[in-house]
Amino acid sequence: MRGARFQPLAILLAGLTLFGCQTNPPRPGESSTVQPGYQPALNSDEAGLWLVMDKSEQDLKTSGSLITDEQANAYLQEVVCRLASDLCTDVRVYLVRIPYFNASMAPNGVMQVWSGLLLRAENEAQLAYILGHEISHYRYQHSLQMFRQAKTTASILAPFQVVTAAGGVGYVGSLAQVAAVGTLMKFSRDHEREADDGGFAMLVAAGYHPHEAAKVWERLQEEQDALDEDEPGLFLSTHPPSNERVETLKQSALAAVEPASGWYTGAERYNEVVGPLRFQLMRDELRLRRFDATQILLDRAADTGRRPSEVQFFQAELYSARAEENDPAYAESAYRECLKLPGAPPEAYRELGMIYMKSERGTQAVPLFETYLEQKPDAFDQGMVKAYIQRINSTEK
Amino acid sequence: MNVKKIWAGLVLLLSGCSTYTLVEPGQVAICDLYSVKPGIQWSQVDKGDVRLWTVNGAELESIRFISGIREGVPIMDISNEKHETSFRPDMNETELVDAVVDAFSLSGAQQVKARNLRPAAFGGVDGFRFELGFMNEDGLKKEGVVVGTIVDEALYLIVYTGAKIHYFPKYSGEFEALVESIRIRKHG
Repeated sequence: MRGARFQPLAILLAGLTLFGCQTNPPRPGESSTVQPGYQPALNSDEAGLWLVMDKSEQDLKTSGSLITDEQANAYLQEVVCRLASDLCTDVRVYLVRIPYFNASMAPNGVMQVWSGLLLRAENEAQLAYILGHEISHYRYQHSLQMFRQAKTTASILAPFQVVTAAGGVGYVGSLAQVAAVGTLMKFSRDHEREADDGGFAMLVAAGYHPHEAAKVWERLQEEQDALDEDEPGLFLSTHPPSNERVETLKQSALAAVEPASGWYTGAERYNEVVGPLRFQLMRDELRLRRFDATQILLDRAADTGRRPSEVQFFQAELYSARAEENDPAYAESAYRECLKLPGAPPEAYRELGMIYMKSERGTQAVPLFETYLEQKPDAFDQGMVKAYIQRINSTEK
Repeated sequence: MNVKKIWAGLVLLLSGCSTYTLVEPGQVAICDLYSVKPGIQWSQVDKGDVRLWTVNGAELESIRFISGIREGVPIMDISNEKHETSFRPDMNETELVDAVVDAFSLSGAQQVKARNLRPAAFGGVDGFRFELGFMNEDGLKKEGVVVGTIVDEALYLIVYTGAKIHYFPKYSGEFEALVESIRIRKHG
């Protein structure tokens, strides 16, 4: 796996060698800006970098890790275009199904948004802030600058290897494409500051509520603090949320001039698009078994009042998966509460039925299993559930 | 040196430091609980509680025998992720399916979907069976079959996976015959 992850880097190094590795480091403080439709000169080191990234983009497209939901993909591209209409066709967004919070930018305009970000952002303005930040990395060619500043092979690899020090590496470690697209890069503090400034300027210019920017960092930090982990999450390791960063964003938000039409938060629209994906996103989140962080997400979701039966269901699922001392009782109670709410997922009937069956309350389980099969006639486990019903009925006789 | 030995050698080379041995057709003890009777020659490697058989290489097709997993032990133990689900003797079949799907997903498999969970005899004891569909990280489509049982509070799984094109169907018949041949050695 490790070899696979760094194979593209080997190709990249070969690519840079082939193109002569023209190293003309920019002067301190200097940053170039790409123009719409930008393409690097064919005989440049940058062209070599793009060649490898273009190949990686093709691999990403067929990797099976993408969420192909048309509405969600169109929405992400729409937000990019609202933020940077000049780069609307140059920046290509890919929604990757990885349950960690992360967004990243490759030198050739490939932006990855991981599904964990969609689960955590609360509205379009928060999403837009992150996308704007990443667009700025592209606009100012930060990854190219990082490569040009690298003096040795080891230091060329260093920006990529930040991933090995971050939480969540196990999940992404096998995704060669993710690293290959050059997106797990740790930029310099100056680059981060420039991306923050550029992203924030885009946010405000597009009319998004500026106070949402600082909230992104505060929410992420709250989640990180809840985890009993020394290592920061992937995004936090590449984007350290310093107090200075949060304070600067808050001050900038206070100074921003509100447009006549008022600030746009976009919570409704965001939930319209992301809402239908949430069930799967929460399933993926639970898979990480980071229960304390997931609890924070569930508490936030409960506060919004949206989809209460779904929130209650995943609360029950969390108890069930954690399975600590009092959790089975909590799970039973949470499934019961879930089933009182409109729109309860069919799986809630099955799960409560399973609890009854395990605790020798089979007769109470049967109607729940039957409702599950009625509501989900194509359930993958219908053969097993029918067998449970049969077994209980024959025992009762 | 015959062709089969050359294949076994190649598998050994491709698999780094793991030591493969040949399994000949005939009755083979898998663990204390049961034995099976393969009809063809397989290359075998043991990794902890897992015994893996393959003909052309584990990435193309493999049978994993996961045996005697006790409470608190990760069920599949195939990913780098530290949060893989551990076994509990009171887990029901649906929870076991979730654990297998989660383990595959955490190991980098994409779009892992379980199908058709149903009761199925495991040798002479009650068991379960389901099918899997997924892609590896390079987008190669793969299929799988999982059969399993819980005996004396320990979990036993046999997981057959392979590339959807050619390899999985090629050895499906052999796998089904292998499952049919399960002979429980001791129980209760």
